[in-house]
Amino acid sequence: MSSMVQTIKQKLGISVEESGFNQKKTVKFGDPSAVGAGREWSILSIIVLIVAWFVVSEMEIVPKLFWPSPIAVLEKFWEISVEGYRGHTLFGHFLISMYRVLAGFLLGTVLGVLCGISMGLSKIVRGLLDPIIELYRPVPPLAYIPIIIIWMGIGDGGKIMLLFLATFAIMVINSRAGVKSVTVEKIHAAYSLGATRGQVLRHVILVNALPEIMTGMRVSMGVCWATLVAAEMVAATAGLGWMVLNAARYLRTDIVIMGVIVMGVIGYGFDLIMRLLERKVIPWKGKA
Amino acid sequence: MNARLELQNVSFAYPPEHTHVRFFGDVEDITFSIRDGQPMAVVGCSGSGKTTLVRLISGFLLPGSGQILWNGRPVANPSPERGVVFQNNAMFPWLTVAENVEFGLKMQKMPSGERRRKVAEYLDLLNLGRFAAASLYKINDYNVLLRVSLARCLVCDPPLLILDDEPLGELDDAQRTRLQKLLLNIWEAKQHMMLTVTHDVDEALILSTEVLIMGGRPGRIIDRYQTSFAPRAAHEGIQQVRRTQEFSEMRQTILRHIVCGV
Repeated sequence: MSSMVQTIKQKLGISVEESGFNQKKTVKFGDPSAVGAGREWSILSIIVLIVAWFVVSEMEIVPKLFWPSPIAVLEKFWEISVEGYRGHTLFGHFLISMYRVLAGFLLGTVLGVLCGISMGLSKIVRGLLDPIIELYRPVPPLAYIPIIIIWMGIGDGGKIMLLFLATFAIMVINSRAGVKSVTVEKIHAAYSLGATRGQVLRHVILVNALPEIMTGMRVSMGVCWATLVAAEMVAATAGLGWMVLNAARYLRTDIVIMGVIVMGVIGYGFDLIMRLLERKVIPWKGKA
Repeated sequence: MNARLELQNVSFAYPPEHTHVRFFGDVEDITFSIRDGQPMAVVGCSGSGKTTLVRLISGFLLPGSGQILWNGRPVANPSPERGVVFQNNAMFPWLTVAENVEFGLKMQKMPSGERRRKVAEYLDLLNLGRFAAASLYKINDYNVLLRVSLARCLVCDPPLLILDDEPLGELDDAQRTRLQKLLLNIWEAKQHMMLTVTHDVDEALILSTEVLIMGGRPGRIIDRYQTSFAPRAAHEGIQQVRRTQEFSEMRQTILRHIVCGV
């Protein structure tokens, strides 16, 4: 029985007892490798959060209108999944948002990587693009919403443009850093083994830059998802961000909370996928 | 004498503002040549310009004055004909051991069947067979990494093998002697030119038939000695040669020349 509990704990990544090696260490405070993930505490914190939420709503410390119970939120989740909200089911809203995010993200990634790598390799490209990127990069994406609406209207184009801009700057900076991160010894070794310029670019510089490029993708995926709500504030008629904003207008707090949780879970899901990709595609990251 | 590598009054000075490369010493008026099949060694302290010399010979730097001739033609760029075994950071962690060894042949577009045969041969020669499929980033044993680096270079059959700046320096004594023996055996079999750059006098003597001593700032060749230790070590064994009177005398003589600043 206890061994079964142990296996379940291991499967969940929970180990109540510290690993043997850590127990033998005399200096633990300050040793980063001695700080475990603390999964059991994570589970505890989620349980406490839900219980507190439930208790506050049951005691009606705050009116139900502003503080719906977890059950009401769950019911809304089911209801909108099946019946939909203003013309689209939850999944429909999700797909619409996904389309915008992925379109902006992919465009930004492809062009950003191209520009970033060219900037890392060529003085001319770097000189040409540097002022433009350095000027627009610090501006929060929300700040150019008005100009985007004026130029691109209120269709999907404007939203994709906004997400593209958010992705592009991050990808340029990261790909450029990736190009620069190569050690000159690797480049020298490749040339002295008979590689041509093109081969050095393909087999050394690009591969070597992959970890930074993927970090950039992970960061910009997060930023995209965060910018999405802002993008959908602008005259949208569907999408997860729009759903939340629209529900807030009618004080449908249960839908708002449900939408926020769904967006959080999806954002976290993206991050997990990116981490998985990193482990598959660039297992050498940080070990070169 | 059919010299294939020839340095004539070669000098190189880093620009003064390059403080981050000041670690490498300038060189001045270097003249020597390596005959076909000759193992040569350069010894000197840190900062005597040994690394600079290697960069010049391998073609990563152009001399400030003087000239470097490879088969009679000035060296203008790196080439697989002058294979360099780098000190560190020069491996490709994203490839497996076998793919690292294959790299040069693949870049030179050797057909894949022939390529695989050669890679297998050299993995075997350097005793790397059981690591062939291992990802390089997972290997942290310097001894293995160094042998991969050697295999990667040797598989291209370079007429000149350059051992850059103490590649054997991080090995323990036993590993080091074993690898020196291996290098000598390969040299005997292939009769390539070899240039060992090190601050270890012992190693310089074992792996060469001529030792150049570099010193001063900028680095010059302050003396040179002809020996017969490399072929003897290959036949009689490294330890046997080390124990001879002749070896220790030569070692003392050279050590007296090497006066490193504090």
